[in-house]
Amino acid sequence: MRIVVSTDSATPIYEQIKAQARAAILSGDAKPGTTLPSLRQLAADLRVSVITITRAYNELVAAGLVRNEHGRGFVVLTVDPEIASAALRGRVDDALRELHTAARHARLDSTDIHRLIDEIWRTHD
Amino acid sequence: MTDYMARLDGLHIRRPSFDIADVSLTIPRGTVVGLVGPNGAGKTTVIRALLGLITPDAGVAEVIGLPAGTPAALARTGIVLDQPIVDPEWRVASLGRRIGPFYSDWDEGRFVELLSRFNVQRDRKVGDLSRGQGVKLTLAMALAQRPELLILDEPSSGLDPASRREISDVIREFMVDPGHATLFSTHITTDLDDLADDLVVMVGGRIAHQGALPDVRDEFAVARGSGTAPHGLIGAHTSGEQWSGLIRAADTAVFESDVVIDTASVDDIIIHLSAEHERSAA
Repeated sequence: MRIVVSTDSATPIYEQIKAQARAAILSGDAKPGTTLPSLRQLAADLRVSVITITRAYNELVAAGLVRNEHGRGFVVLTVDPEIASAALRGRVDDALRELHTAARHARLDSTDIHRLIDEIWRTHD
Repeated sequence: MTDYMARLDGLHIRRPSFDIADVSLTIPRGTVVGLVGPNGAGKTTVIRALLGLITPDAGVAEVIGLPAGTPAALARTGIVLDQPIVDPEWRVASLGRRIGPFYSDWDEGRFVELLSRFNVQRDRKVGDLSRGQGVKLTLAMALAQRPELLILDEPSSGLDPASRREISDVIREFMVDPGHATLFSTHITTDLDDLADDLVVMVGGRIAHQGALPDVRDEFAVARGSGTAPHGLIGAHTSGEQWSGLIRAADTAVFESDVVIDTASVDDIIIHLSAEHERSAA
């Protein structure tokens, strides 16, 4: 699992960690039965406090994505594929709504946006 | 194994020059506790009480379930004060041989490894080291004792950013073991942002506030405005028409829309809590 945090983002670091771990679990990159990186080692590696990682991991537990097993650490649970794909779709919906707002502020219409999306698709795929 | 590494309970210390009143705090295992406050707030006295260097008039000071200062407690405590506590004439390379025998768990390999990582020159005399090198030497000595509790008193003041980063990296590595704990007293509160789990704010010999660091930050906000300062500001400061003060984040809604509400840094919290203390003491 790759976790990278930005220290000058408006998003709190624990939210960034939670979102990245969550995406890895929902997309299947982090397989059920595997463990998340050790909480304390990740804190040292990312140069953040232990409580920051603890908060992120506890929220993943609350969301039913991982379980804290004594002696093993945080184990990835099997996620219902429908819930996983709905959650991943939810992220796309959120991004689209944000895109819509930003586009209106920038006075770009649907045709402009479609063209920009096609361009991004071409350069990133 | 107790779940807390050290604790102070109802500590009172009265001396002609200072007064510590009703200080209670715990340092849980697995936790970095940041100790902050203005000069003279009592941070160093609290540390001295945890080391058994000062006898309280009332209250309890315990480390690993033992009275503070007992040899077994000290043997498991690594201490970093703001300057090396060994003879300045001694050479760095000789320290393991000179002080190692006093510690049952002295790890010479770890000591040498940390010195080389910190670029502390081993052929130098302790007294010839720069301040940053001296602090790093002390930290290497403290960690070579294989402690469970690490206590640092103002290690980072006067150090360059790279040295401060090295120190916090080593502390985070020390904290990978959940049985360890750290008490970090500092004026450079940004050093605590990505290191401390709990925060203890001392003002005027008392604990003015304590809690999990993210909670403490969320609990307060800074309000700024122009004109007549509203009531209920903590440690209000006015300059001409401008006023500012700390508020409880929960009270944000009672302010008018022309008041700016910013997140409070640890420095904001210390400055306003001590201003409030001075106001109420006056």
